[in-house]
Amino acid sequence: MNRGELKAMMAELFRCDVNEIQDTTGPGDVTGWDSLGHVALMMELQNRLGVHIPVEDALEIASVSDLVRILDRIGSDVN
Amino acid sequence: MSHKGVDMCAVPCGDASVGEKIRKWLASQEKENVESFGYPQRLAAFHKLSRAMLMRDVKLDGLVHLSGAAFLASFLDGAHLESLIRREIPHTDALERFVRIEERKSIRLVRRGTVCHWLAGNVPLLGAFSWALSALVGNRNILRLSSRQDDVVTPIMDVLSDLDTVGRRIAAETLVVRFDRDDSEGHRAMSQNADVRIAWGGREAIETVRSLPCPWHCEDVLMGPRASIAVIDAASITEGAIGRLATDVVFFDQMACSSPQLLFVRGRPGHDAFDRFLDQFSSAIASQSGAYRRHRLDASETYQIELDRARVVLSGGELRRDANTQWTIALVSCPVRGVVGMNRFVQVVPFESFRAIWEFFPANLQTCIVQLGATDLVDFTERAALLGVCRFPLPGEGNHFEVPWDGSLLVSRFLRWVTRTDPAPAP
Repeated sequence: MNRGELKAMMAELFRCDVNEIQDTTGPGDVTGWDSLGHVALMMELQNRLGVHIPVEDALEIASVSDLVRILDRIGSDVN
Repeated sequence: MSHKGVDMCAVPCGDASVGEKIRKWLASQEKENVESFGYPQRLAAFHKLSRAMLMRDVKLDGLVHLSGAAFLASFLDGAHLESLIRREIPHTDALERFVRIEERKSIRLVRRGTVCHWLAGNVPLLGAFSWALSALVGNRNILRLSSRQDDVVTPIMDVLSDLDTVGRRIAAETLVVRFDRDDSEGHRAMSQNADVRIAWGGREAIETVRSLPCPWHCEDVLMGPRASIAVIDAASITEGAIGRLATDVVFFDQMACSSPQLLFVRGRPGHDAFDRFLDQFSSAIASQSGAYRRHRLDASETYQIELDRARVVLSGGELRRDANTQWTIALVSCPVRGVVGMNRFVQVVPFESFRAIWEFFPANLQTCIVQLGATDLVDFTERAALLGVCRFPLPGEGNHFEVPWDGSLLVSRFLRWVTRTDPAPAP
């Protein structure tokens, strides 16, 4: 999955326009990215990428850039 | 749509007595010769329920906006439930059949029967956690809500009923009853039919349940009044972690037993690390208090906050606060006697050595959120565990329900542990 596909997936999940998902966008910046949306995002990524995102990492995600960095660290390259 | 179990009591029990409703429901459970579903099927049904919550099933509209809905959705995820079960039960096959654990010894885990849950008035969703674990291993469940509580359970049952036959069965094995706390007949009717009683709440609620007559074999799981704290090294905590610590304080308005009320912060006021911590923590509490909706404070709660603020000032403490009663951070040299610390009111106590803070640890400690260096973490947690702390999560995880909880395993108490000695192998 590349960064564009990641953003498209997030836009679909949060039911917003893909242009609303920027690298600096974080939880609370788009309507669907609330606490429930955040859990849904983690689950979806785990399903699609076959990785396990530890809770402590999930809690640290404050932006799309953070998410990409964490995915990168746990072995799922998103660029 | 409502399923059979909820249909009986989705409304207050009214004219028919609670006891009569419970008896009829239990009789219907006994009579029904339905297919029994095992652990894997039940696990799959809960996973589907988690997905329905995450996809914001319209039936759950009223639920998904509640504090804790995201916790519940992630809790019900199949992989997460399975990891919790495995913490207690290494051989999950024993939920289905006898499993050999030694050369000539086998073990089988059987549901206990009827598990009765008294839900807490402050955080009713907690009851959904114990219900899910109990139903997952095949028990029938009776959930009691007070007449004044919002019914958070029936919408979940409705979605579960629509999922598939397994979900329908789990929902049918669940009865929701609503009655006042003074309805002793209602409490007794539940208790007398319980194979397990699980009570969430304050001292009075727990003691009420404990004093009720019950079958001699009934297992009690009592999740009573607990206090929680945080112990932080100001020099090592990041701004992100400070934000997550603020979430632990703000999220349930400190009504959950796992919400910290006292923060012990290593450092000295007037020194960079401590002052930075206090500034960033104050900003985080202020911004999150705006972002997270709260219940409407009644007059007594507002009065309590003002009273606590006065106590702090009269004790020589300093206050950081909003213009109203949204949030309060009290900087104090030691915890101020009599301060309740609810509704986003936290006392920050600076310290330099752990020895200086042990005496301030409440006797009923449950959660101690920690952010310490690696060596300190080991030293501190070894001692603090002996003083009663039940869990040491990181900032942001304070309110994540997990098992063990309150120092006790949960799932294994919803089960009977059956052993079998196997014949010697043929020579």
